[in-house]
Amino acid sequence: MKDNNSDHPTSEPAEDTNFARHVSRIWLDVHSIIPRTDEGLFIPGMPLDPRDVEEGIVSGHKRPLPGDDEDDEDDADTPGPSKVRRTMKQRPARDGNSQGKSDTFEKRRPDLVLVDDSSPEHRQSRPFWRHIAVLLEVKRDREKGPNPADGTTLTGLAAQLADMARLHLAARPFMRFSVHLTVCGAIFNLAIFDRAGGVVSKDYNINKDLETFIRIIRRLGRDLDAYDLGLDQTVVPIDTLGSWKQYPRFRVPVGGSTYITKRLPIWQSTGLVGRGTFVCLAELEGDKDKTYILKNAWRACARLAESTVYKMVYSATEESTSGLTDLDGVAKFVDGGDIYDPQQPNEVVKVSSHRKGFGGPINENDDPVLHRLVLASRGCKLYEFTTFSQLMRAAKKMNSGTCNLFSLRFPLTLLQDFGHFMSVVLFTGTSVLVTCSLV
Amino acid sequence: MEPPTTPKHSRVTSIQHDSDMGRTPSYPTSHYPSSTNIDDAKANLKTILATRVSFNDPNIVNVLVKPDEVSADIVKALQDNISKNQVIKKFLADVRRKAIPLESHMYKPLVRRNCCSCFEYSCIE
Repeated sequence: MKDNNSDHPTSEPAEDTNFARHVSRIWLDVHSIIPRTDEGLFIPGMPLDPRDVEEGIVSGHKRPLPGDDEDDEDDADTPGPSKVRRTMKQRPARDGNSQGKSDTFEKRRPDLVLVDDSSPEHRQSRPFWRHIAVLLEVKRDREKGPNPADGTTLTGLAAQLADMARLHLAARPFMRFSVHLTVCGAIFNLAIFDRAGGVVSKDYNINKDLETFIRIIRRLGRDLDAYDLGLDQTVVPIDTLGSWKQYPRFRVPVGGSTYITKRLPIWQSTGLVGRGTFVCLAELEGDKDKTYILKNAWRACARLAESTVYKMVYSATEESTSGLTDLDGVAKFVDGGDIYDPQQPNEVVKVSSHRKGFGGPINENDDPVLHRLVLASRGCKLYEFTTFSQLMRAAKKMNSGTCNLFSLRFPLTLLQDFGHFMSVVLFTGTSVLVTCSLV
Repeated sequence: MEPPTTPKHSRVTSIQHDSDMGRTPSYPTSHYPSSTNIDDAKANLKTILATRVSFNDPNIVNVLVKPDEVSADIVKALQDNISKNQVIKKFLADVRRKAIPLESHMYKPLVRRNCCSCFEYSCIE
């Protein structure tokens, strides 16, 4: 698929339907526009509507709004104007929530981005965050670079990159890490951020290492595929990642089955370090009749896997649940487990898997493991029970199941992992604590 | 003797918004609560990340990007192209001399603040 030595991007593949292997990217100057999210997808800290952050600003250059996209097809290639100058008092925060902040956390507007391009489609002026493959941040002075003078203190630019990385990872599904380039004066760096933190390269000087810079830009834009740039190697996008019209669907293996994701995600974490949970609807490949819930997360390796807990809940003996077979309010577990590395089938995918050969050593107990679950229902929240007797029945089942299950000494925090699907278990967890304290 | 009273509180009739429960909304039409809010994310980054970033890594470029896999012909062609491009040449020279102009010096300001504390188009002048 890839041709390192051709000067033409491999944008028109012949037969390959794995769109992660299609390399067709362009650099966009977005420092004066705001990348957006798909309609209906809301990520805290990322404006849905650019007007939210542009309010109160009168600019000499009318910035096109999403609805205006049809009229400015060439805008993406047009050199942008300078950033609109604003007084600090009137400058809106880039998260659209508050005004007047100059904190680096509010600068959620990358300078340049390398985006996946869908050449047959009409290109619009504002790229989606999910189009972005690489982010590039430019600073005037080399002193603003990401590497600290003392070698350890978190710099402002590193924090800024990390903040954009968490949004990038939230908006672009199934990513293992987010790739960033920085150019500060004559110094340039490459950095990645993942669920365990980040790695920043040593400083390169654009004057002395211009050839290296050229090679890096070439590799990022023309050679490296989506997997090389952070996409989870176990999933296959079945739509182009640069599509404007369609949120890409992914073929995702879980256990012995393969599922196809549907539409926008239901929920996604916006934290950087941690589980990075991503939940979406999915259907079994070849069976479109039934919809499942697919949960993709990086679990702490020292914790019990969520799929294991579900299996234990559902394998509780009949006696321990007072002979009641179904579990009211608990999500129906279908399949799940840790994900194994396709290149090394005996090893699960961890953050350390993509950090081989660079970065500091990751603590063995702090090396997140990629984990997936498929559920057939989402369970019920306490306030969703329609009758009191139904709620009490669920509570009774939970309490009756506690002897066996909780003798295994589940930490309550483990149950909190189920927050989105197992509210009843949370409820029961509380009741169990009360029971224990009474005993 | 007055009977004991219970402090009055507003009756919760329904939970319509995530904000009713003190949560950051996660998805306009979703009832799933978000466990992440902006303040938490900031605190997360500033405190936890500080010890989790490796700086000055000498290998990440070679391992992740593999720049040496670009053929020498392409690099030479691109360098030739750059050497002929006056804009890039000037930019690199400015970088070398640490004389990169501020953006505000490169463009005519698009907006200016007038004495009435409001913005107006610079082209109106």
